[in-house]
This record gives sequence, structure tokens and C-alpha cells, in this order.
Amino acid sequence: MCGKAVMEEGCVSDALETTEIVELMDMRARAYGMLARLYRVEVDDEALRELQSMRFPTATGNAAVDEGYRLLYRYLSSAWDDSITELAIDFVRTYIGHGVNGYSAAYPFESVYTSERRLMMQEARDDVLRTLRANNLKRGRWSEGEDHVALELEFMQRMALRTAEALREGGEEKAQQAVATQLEFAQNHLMNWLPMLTRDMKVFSRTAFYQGLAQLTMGYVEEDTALLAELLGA
Amino acid sequence: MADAYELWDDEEYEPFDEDGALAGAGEPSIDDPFDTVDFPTLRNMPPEMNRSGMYTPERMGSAENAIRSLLDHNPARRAVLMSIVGWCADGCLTSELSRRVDELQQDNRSVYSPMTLCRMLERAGALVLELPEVSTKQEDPAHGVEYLEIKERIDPVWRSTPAGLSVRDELAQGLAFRDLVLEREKAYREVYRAVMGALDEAPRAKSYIDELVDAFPIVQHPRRFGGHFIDLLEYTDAIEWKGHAWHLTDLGREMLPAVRQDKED
Repeated sequence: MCGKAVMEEGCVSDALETTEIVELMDMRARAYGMLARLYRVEVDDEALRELQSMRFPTATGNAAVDEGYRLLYRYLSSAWDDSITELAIDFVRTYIGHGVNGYSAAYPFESVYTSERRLMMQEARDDVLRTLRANNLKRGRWSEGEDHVALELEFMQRMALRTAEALREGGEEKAQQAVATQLEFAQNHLMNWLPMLTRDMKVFSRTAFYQGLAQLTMGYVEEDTALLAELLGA
Repeated sequence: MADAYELWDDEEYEPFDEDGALAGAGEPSIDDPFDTVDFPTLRNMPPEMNRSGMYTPERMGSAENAIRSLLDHNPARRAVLMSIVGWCADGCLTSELSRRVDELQQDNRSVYSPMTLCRMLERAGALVLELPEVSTKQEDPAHGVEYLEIKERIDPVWRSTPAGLSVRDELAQGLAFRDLVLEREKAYREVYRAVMGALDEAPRAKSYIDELVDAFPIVQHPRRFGGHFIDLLEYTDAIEWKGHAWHLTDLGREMLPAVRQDKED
């Protein structure tokens, strides 16, 4: 783990520490990529096999992360071919649900949780879109609102990769700016509604898999936000 | 072994384009088309809205009744459903069962996957799923961190219940055939005899059976076509569709003497 204020100007000159930060950013990118994938679409056979090849840490220091890993392990250790169907059903039950009143599922859009009438495409989506544009990003094949949790997690992944790339090229200021962008985004968006989304995931999902994913996501983003703040000496 | 952070280098999927061009996203709508606060939600849905399976022992009174109802309402899948029960008499690995079901259905494709068929039988009380014991042994500390890991994907065993085997035995003895063909369709005995006799000689196309059936005066009033006899013989497991032709099954062959016996009587 990098020391406090390591990203501050003049502190990244230590080659070992820079390497550590690059590794850390790559690791964060993979973690956010994994989470984004699991929110984006249902688990398929390939994804199930990947998940079953994971190692599940038992004591990370964050209770929510540990519980998330424990639940994922519990489900995946007895998962077999039919589990793909079971997970697909639970995906729909959790994120789409029945009913049109805005309270029938854990809707994966920030706007639903941050607008007065729980509608999609509200202020939060506009703000995410502005952030994407400000960072020279646009949606590619994505056809839903930009404030979908998968896209927000993918944004963190992309920015972590940029940070690592900037550090490799010696662009410390650019890297610092990318970390600041991630911290701001995590604080203003992810941490603003993930507690509500993950709480609802626990209400609507029936498999230990999505229960665990909720815990893991909340715990990981919480820890990561603190880490980003620490890196910036905030 | 990869850890949690070494996955998902998903190169194919690219939600973000990074070419510098800005997205032409439209303005979000501020209209509020629905005011639906009175609709029930899953959280407060009445318990009766939680539907259980249709053909279950609880709903049908017994597992045997549930299995018979399941078969009655899925006539096109009777053969494969009963074959599954037969294969699972002494337990059958899921992978092996899937292979056998796919093989059996190659001339009679179904939208149901092999596991969906097994789940249907499980809900009706004809099968039980046996999940192997999973070791939750914790790995030795590696690099100061303890992990849990999954050694291999399990391959559960499906096993037939006594109720499932009992219904299968009933059908294998031709009870449905005797009831429907020999009793309720007694008036058409000579037609069945001709159709089954022809299929005993060789597999036949539907057009052949249509012509054969049409030659009998009894099918003129009320009008009966070849499809009627094919339906009932298939429903009673006496014939099956395979390789673009109708075949007499083993059960159908066993029933032939009964059909012919009647002629001698």
C-alpha cells in the first residue's frame, strides 16, 4: 500500500513507489472491471468459470468485503451448469423486477435513487454525462443511461488505467489529476447512491451470489474511496 | 490460480469510445408519464402472488398425480421425461444426463433444456437432485493472506424417486395404450391394427398413414384423418418420430398381439 500523500508533487520520484502505485491502479482497474461486468449483464458460462477460478480472501480488513467474498464463495462453490439459469432469473428479479412504480427492484440507475420521483435520466445522468465529456469519453455501444452502475464502475476502471498509464510515462501531474477525478466521482456519485442500491439488492435478490455482490461492491468502493483520499493526502 | 483482481480483461466489450468525439446524446426527458404510487411492489406483494409450480405433489395431492399431470400436459415430451426417470433410477450425473437427453431429442427438438426438463420432474416429485459435499477448507496462508478457493465445478447427481419409477412402470406396461386405444377407441381397432402393422414392417411417412387410414369406411363419418391415429399412438408411446418417419416403439410392438388378438376374438 502506498504511503500518504505519495501522489503529491515531488513524491512520486521514488521509482519503487511509482511501480507500486502503477500495480495498485492496474489492480483497481481489474476489480472495477469485474464489478462492472457483473452488473452489466447476466453471468454466462464463461463468466461462471472465471468466477470459480477466483481466490476469495477471508480477511481483508473490511467486514463488508469479507462477507461479500464469503457469500460469493458459498454460492460459487456449489454452482453448476443450471446455476447460469438461476443467476439469470435472479438478475432480472433483482434489477428489473415486476411493477412500474419505482419500488419493485434494485434499479441500477443513479437517477432513480437521487431524483424526487425515482425517475430515470434525471440530474445524476446529466452530471455523469458531463463528467464523461469532460474526460473525453463517450458511450460506445452502451444504449442505456450513462448513470447505470455498470458504466459508473467502468468509468472508475478507465480512469484507473489512465492513472497507471500516465505514471508509466512519467506524467505525474496527469496521474494526480486522474486520481482526483476518481475521488470526486466516487464521492459525488458512487458513494452517493451505492448504499441504497446495494441495500435494495439484498432485499430483492434471492441467491447468495447477488447478496454477496451487493456486499462486495459496497465494501470495495468504500475502501477504494478512502484509499484515493489517502493517496491525494486529502 | 488467478485472484479476484486478475479477471475481466474484457477487450471485446467497450462501453466507452475514446476518440475525442462527443456523444450525441439527446436531452433527458423531464416528463413524468406515470404516477403509479398505488401499484403494489414486490415488497408488499400478497403471499398468494408467489406462485409455486403447477404440477407439484402439494397441488395435485400426490407425486404420482403430479407426474401424470405433467405428462398429460406435455405430451410431446412424454418420452424424454420418462426416459430421464429411467436413466436416473440408480442416479445419473448431470453431464451424462444432458448428453443423453440431447441425443434422444435430436429428432424432436425442444425449447426446454435438459436441466429444465429435470427441474420439471423434480417439482413434480419424480426426481431429486443430490449435490455433492463441498469442501470449505481454508487454504494455507499465502503471502500473509488467507483465501478460499474452488477446486472444481460440481457435477450433481439426479436420482429417480419411487413415485417417478412407479409412474414410469405404469406407462411401460401400456396402461395408457390399453385404456385409450383398446378401450375408448375400440370402434377403430381395425384402423389401429393396420397402422401399427404397417409401421411394424417399416418406418412410414405421415402421407402413407393418411392414405392407409382413408381407405377405411369408418373414418368417413365422423371424419377422421391419419393425424388422429398418429396423435393417439404417440400419446400412448406406441410410436415415435425419428429420422423423418414414424416408427413403432418397443411398447407398440409389445401391444401388437393385443390389437391382433382382438381380431381373432
